[in-house]
Amino acid sequence: MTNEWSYIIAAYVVTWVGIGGYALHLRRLTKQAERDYAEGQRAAAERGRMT
Amino acid sequence: MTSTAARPSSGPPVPPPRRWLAATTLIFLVGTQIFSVVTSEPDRDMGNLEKILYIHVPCAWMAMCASLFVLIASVGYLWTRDEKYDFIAASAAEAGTLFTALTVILGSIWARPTWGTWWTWDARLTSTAVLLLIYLGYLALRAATDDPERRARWSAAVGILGAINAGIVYKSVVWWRTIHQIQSAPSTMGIMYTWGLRLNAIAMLLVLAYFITTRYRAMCLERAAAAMAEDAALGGRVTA
Repeated sequence: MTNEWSYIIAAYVVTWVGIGGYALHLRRLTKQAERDYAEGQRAAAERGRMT
Repeated sequence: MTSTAARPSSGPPVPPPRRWLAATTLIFLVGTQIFSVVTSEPDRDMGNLEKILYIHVPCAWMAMCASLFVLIASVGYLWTRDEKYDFIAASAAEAGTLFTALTVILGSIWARPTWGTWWTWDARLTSTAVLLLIYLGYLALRAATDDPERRARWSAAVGILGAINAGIVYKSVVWWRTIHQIQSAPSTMGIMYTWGLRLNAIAMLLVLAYFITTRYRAMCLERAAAAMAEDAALGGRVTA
């Protein structure tokens, strides 16, 4: 089994790419949602001052 | 000015970010993987390839755990019609899709040098592939449906179907004896292998918890932001 380590390395790389990739996707999604949320709050506060 | 139109719901309360969970999960995951790879002895039959099982088996367990969360949250939604259960189910389904895909790919990488094939229509492999298709269908359904109430109701139905299939995945090696081995018991495994598997399972459970809580928080933020935008269009105010 001389090439068994290539399978092992491939398996761990796939795992880290999958988990890391999804974690980065979540981070980007959360940052965008936080920005939209803060923008909505700011706009609501401005409308509150105008009424 | 106040609007007479019905105020859009701002959705479930937005939970605080859990950065401590991200840090703990990363440290634990790196630590357990190094521990299991370094301390495990080559197996009598499969040699060093057993190191793949430290990630393949916990990923499979997390796919099952995610299905259980989807089932509980989906039933919770159908019972209460509370949007937060729909968000929990959807968050768990996304993480479940990832873990099921990893299970299939890692199993395939392990099978090539041990079974001599990347894929075979074994009962466990086939039912896991069906679970992955159900998860993908769940996500496609959510992406294609605009009405939140209808999306949640249909998603809950598909989520329950996926959980039923997860039960079939679990029992498949008992019901149909094909190439995939049956579940091992700690009494039949070496102590270091058992502990390596347990620690990696805890690490993957932390990953699953982090993914679900983070996605749930993002969904709550998206819902609140959408409600505020909708309310602004109606000319009123929403306090999120």
